[in-house]
Amino acid sequence: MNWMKHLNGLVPLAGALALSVGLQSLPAWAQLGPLTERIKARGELICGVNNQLPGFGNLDDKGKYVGFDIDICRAVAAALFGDPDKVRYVYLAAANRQSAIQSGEVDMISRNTTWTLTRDREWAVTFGPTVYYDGQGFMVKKSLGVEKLEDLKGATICVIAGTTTELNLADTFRARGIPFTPVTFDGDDSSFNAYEEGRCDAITSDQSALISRRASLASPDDHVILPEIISKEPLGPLVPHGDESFSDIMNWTVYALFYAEEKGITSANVEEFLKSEDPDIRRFLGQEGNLGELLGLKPDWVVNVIKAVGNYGEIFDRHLTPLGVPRGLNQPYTKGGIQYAPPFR
Amino acid sequence: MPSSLSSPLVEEEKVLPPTEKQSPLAWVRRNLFDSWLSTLLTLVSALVLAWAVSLFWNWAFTQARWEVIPANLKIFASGTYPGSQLWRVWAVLGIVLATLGVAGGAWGGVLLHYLILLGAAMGLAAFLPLGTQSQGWLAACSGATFAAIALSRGRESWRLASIWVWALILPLCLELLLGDLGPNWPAVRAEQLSGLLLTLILAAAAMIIGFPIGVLLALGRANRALPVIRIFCTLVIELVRGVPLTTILFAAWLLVPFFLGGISVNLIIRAEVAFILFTAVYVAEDVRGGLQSIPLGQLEAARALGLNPFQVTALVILPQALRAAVPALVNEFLTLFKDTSLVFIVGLIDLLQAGRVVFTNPNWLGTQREVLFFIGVVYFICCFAMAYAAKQVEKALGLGKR
Repeated sequence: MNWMKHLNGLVPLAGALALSVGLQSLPAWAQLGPLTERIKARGELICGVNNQLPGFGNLDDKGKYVGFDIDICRAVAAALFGDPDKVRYVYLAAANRQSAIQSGEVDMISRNTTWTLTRDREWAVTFGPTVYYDGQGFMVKKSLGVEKLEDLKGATICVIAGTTTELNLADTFRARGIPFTPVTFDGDDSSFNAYEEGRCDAITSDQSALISRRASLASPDDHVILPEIISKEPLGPLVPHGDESFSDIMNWTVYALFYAEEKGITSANVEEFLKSEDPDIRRFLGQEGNLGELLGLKPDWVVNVIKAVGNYGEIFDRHLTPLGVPRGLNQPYTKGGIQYAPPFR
Repeated sequence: MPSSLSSPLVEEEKVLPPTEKQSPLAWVRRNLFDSWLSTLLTLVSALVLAWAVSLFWNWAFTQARWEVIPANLKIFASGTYPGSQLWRVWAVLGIVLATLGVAGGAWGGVLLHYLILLGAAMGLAAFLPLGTQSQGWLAACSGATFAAIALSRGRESWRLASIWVWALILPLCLELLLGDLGPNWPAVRAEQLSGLLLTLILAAAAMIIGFPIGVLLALGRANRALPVIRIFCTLVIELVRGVPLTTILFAAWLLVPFFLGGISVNLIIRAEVAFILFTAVYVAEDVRGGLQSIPLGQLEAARALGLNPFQVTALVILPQALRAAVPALVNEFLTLFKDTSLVFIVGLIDLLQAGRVVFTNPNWLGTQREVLFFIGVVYFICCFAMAYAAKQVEKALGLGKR
């Protein structure tokens, strides 16, 4: 079948020909952007991820990428190709995210990235829906008897250098006039290690990280996480500027995960929902209407996504609940959270 | 020295200085307790040592969760390499060991000792409960090593062939690791090479390819007759040497794609080229040091014998220069081996990153000490083996004696 490989080279050419012929007659939505075309021609999505954040992105003992952020990549691949395994993962250090997305080294980043205005503009990217609402918190040794931030007067605080976390810490403490000594580290591991060895009185990081790390400390009960949250950390996937058709695919894939949870559709019962008479669900699952076509995807793209990774709640329960992370704000709006999908119609 | 010319027997009459024989007790008294100051120092260091060892002992035998190491051997060894294709890695290991075995049998020396040790270790490991597949492959690799040694033992005529055969073996191994071998064995992406496998491939390729380039650069720089080549070589050496390795890796990762204008070159190859360049320029400077240690008389004598410039370089100058450069070269190769851990910058997963991946796995949180200790031991074994082998080579070459 080797000759067929050579034919693959003709696909873009044929595509370009077809495009130039049909350009006049096709409506604007039917034209996929350059990045989507490139991904489809390549046959796999290149996703920039973390491999060292427990629960969000790491490798299992077989060497496979697993985690909350990884499942977002898998969902987008399932939407594009009907196969969640058509993803190539590229590990990105925090500092490499900007250059990787700008140089086109990755198509998409799903790596616990906080959405900020500066990143949105300076990286020239489009952030997708926030998949995890995080916030910066503090963990302290119970023996210190600390109950609120003001009790940390004069304390040494472990923090990771070069993060929004470090800036928030300085801002908050300065605004409230609390003196403190920061001790900076280059990553989660060194920072939490130093805290455990008693080099700092408190450690600050994203609430989700504090919760999952506390579980791994030698004696978790000796440490408390303060109730106060000092920052907004909306984490979400992002894609480069220049192809709205691809950012739409990312957005609506994530919304489909939210929507499926709202409707109670799971990877286990999605087949039954295919028999549903509810026109809303029939549209959502591609039994009726042309939602898939509008995105340049197959009509049953949502079914593929749900079968591959489940709905949003399933992803959360698979990766974060075992670490002791509560749903909190990340509930659907129907259950008191703020995850909310626009209507699929 | 007319006497040594007149009779070779004089050699045996040479009087050696007396070697002192000491009982261990006398040695201790003389070296550790010979004055009040050294007694004090001995006691203090013994206390510090005992304290450190007891701390380590306490951790290693009561707190450490060593089960993290056997449970993740696959990650350490081959990282993200697809599990269903793991037999390819084993087969390549077997082929490499067998080829080395042939070389070890033919050449003897430290290589032979290493291979016997390695073969025996793998044979023993085959009895550990690692799963039937791994055990079978370990036994097979051990068998292949010993069979190859037995086959070539004492056959000096195979010596040269055992080197040239690598030109065939290396592409074969690469194809076996990555190639599309049929419907059940699809191509493996190069980025999936990871763990110790990646570390070894990166280091070996940088040494094998970087070394000859380095020698050429050194010769080019030392060449007075061809100024253009000399300036070019000097420029390359100084430019690459003047930039940190991390910067070169970053450039290979982010700048090269822009220059290539859409042609995509594999990330591992781009990183490897960075390592090769970096190694080559340092090797060049090591070799240049060797070249400068050769007295001009050697060159003149070789010319007077009627050798052409190529022969002068290849037969007289280079062998002596390389011999003098061995300690510096070993140093360079050890540094390179450890520097490969910098590939994390471009997102590749080498041995060290594989370790980080293991201790951030939610099942193994909080095991960084065990994992990093294990990785340190692996690095130490590799580096010590290289250093010891180099020491034996130095001995064989009579370095520092002649």
